[in-house]
Amino acid sequence: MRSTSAAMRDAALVTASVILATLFVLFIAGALLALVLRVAPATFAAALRSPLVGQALWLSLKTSTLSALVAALFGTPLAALLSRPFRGRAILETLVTLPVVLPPVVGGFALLLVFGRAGLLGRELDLAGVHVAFTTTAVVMAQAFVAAPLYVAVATSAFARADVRQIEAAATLRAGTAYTFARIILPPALPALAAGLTLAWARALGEFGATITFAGSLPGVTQTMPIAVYVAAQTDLQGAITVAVVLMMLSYAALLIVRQISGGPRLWS
Amino acid sequence: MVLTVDIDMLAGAFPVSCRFQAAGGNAVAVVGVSGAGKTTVLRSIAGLVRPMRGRIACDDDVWYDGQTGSWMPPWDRDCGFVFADAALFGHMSAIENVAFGLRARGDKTAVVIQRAMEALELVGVAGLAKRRAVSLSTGEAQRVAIARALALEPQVLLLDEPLASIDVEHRGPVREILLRAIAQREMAAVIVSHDPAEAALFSDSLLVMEAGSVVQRGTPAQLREHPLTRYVAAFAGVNLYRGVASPGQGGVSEVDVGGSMFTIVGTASGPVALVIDPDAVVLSRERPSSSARNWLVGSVAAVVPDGPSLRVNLASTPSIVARITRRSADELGCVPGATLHATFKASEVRVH
Repeated sequence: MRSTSAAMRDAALVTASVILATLFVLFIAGALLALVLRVAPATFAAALRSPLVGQALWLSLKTSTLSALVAALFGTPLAALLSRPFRGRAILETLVTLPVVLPPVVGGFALLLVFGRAGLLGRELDLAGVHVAFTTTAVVMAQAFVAAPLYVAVATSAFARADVRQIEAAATLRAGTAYTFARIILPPALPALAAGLTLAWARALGEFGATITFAGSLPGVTQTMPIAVYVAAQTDLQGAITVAVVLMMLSYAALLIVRQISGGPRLWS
Repeated sequence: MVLTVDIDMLAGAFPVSCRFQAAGGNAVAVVGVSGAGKTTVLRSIAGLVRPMRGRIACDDDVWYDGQTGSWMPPWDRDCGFVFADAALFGHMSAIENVAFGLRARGDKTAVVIQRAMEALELVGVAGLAKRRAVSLSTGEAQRVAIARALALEPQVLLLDEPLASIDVEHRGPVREILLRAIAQREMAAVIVSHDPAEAALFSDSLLVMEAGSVVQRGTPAQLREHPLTRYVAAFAGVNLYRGVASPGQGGVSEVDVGGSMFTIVGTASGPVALVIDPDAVVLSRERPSSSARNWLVGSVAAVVPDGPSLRVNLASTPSIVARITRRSADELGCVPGATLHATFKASEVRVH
């Protein structure tokens, strides 16, 4: 039989937890709800068809999809490498994870210092007639810089879950390294890779700091949805709200998909 | 075809060294308690771990040579490995598991499925072909794993406790399949087992490993008659006979061990291994009229101290070892050359 004071302490802790959790949900949901409540139904449909929204939406979908594919193309081999132990793995893994915590503006600034006209490779690229900064290519590069590490992290942990016994069995069955990867390690990891890809896509969709620093804000060329929100907030409030709401819905859908695929909101598992 | 193994290596912190040869069509059995280094030896033959020094060769095909530094990766070695825990590919069906090696080797797609099916049939699990590997019981999975290794018809077959996860009543048939495959395809087999009786059913050539090194090698009879270590005496040094059983009447079976008939409890038929603990063998000066069903007679070949007791080797047909106290030995006049009778009950015989 528990004492009355223990029961009261228990009840107080539960109550406090519920209050704290509710406040947190209100903080997130309230802010988002405020945005949705500001949508004027009559103008929302019209704003959706406006050049500002249409251009930004199309550019964002295009660039974030490209960034996610770039992340998969370069990130999959890297993740395969990082999933096996080797000397210096911790250093390399930390390095490629750095953009996750780095302020995106720093990333964009760094890219500018490499690929910009006055950058490290700027002269050579200029001579070759290649101009990267302030183009759609720069948008994809900026987004990939920030989003690819998420894909790499998810893919690395998926590959690391491969059963060592099965890999060894494959080796005794005439399968070389590449064949074993393709037939034994990759297939069970595919759902996780899809989740990582969606996560990277969502992160690329929301990318702002690196993009505006490295690619600027040219409507239809480099002005993605987050940048459009920022710019329009000063001039065209209803337009900014429309873009923000669309962005929010897309991001929410993407996270739902990630959750469905991976069975939980685990970014690093 | 001869597999030559002569290696020194480290398994974690402790050294393992092993030297033996296995000829095509034959099996060498490596026995010892778990942690003795048996599996490490198998893994180094397969190329899953690299020895520190030594040589592994299959005829003139050098798989590893510490002196020249030559090293062949596992996928280039003509060797099959049956893991203790099957290690099937969980996301594939049984037949896809068996087909894996054939595909990896580059066999034509048309023949791959046919060969895989034949291998499953050989092991008697063709009915499981379409089942997903994760849905198989451990015994079924192990049979599929055996089919997977045999499908490639390797020159060298490495078996790590291949029957441990199979039900006792199914072990006999699977063992026969393995032995037939080894003989027919002239594979050199190396079997690892912690059970000397199981090992003896695969091979007359036993290699006993203790703490990373081979402490004794020989036939079961040689190990029984001259055990060099306490472990060999206690585990491999039991009385171990191979024979052919036929069911008798009254719930017993008769086992023909090289012409001598033994009686065991239960109905058994076909090849069996019998294990009689030396402690269960009673020695007497005259043939006792007792309830014990089994009787041998012979002269004492040797009396060897074993802790506080003595091991008495009797040169009967077949030879047998009894463990008796020093006092009993004195009273029996148990000295080399003396003729003694050995008896043991049918129920004291463990049948494999």
